[in-house]
Amino acid sequence: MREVSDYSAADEPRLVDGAKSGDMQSFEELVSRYRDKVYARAYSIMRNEDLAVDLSQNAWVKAWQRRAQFHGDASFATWLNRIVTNLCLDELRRQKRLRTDSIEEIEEATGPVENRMEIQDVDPIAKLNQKELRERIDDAMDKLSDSHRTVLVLYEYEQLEYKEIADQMDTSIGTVMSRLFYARKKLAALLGEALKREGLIE
Amino acid sequence: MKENEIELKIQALVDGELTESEAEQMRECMDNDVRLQILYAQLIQTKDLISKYEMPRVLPESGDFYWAKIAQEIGTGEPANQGSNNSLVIKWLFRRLAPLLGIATIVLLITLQQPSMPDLGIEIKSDHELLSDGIEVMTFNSVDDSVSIVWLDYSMDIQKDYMELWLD
Repeated sequence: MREVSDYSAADEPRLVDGAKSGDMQSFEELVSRYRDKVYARAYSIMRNEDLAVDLSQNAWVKAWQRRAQFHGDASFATWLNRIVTNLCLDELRRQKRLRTDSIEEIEEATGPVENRMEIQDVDPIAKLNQKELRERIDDAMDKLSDSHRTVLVLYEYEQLEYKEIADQMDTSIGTVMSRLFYARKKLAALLGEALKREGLIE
Repeated sequence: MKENEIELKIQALVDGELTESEAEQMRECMDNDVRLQILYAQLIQTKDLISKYEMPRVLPESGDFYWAKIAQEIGTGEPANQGSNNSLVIKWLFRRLAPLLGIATIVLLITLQQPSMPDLGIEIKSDHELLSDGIEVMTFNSVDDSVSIVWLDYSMDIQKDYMELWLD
């Protein structure tokens, strides 16, 4: 590929092959196509703009350094998201934000606040447009603990299985199931509270 | 099975993480328990909301600026010193101050390029009056306050003549 327009029109396998053989312009085009997605994944876990930018850039650097290890078993975007997710988990561990003996785990064992909340039949889709709904869900995600939110992101957005999440987070499948359960219940409760405050549900 | 274990199994059923025999066992449990049926419905709804309504996000900086750092690190082969508090503070300040510095520079350039007052050889004092036919012009100028005020006073007749001329 010689012309600039060739890169923007090239299909992904061609760009990946180019990058693997050391063509920096192919790699730059891949960055251009996926930078928002990689940044969004980092932000969804870290909830900090600057950290998310830095970690997503580091993910691209690692992707370049390890490009020979990409064999196309998953899509390039999935491979990249795994790299940025691992970097985010490392950063959370470094900041000690993924606690293993936290109050929230004691609560999970004994029965947390969410357990005492009545189960609400929340039907926000009928009340809000998509943008408003996204904002409410994002606000609720913001209020979850790092470990609860990370499990939710890995399961729902990255579509990892329980065992894969347990491996990535260095924990047991039981802990993953428990965190996922309480994360969902808390999120539903937070969303219900927000809609109640706004008078959208009774 | 304890209540907590049953709840987690219901969740695993929602997530498709049970074997066929385990799933069948849980469905039988639910058939006789309204509370579990409600929990199952709530978990499905919550899962659906989270997976379908992820907030889309875009990079808060330009693509070129973003790529420049990646290219630089690939070139030097030195990964970023992630999480360094000092570098984070510096980057945070730079990202927020850079646009302000840019705006300040533009304002300064515009100010410096403002044409100066032409030297007409007339020194305007603080207050004076010019008279012309039918139009009275009076200006007030204060160098100390950097203020100039001009009054125009003309009779209705002139305005009427002007309107008629314009209508013709």
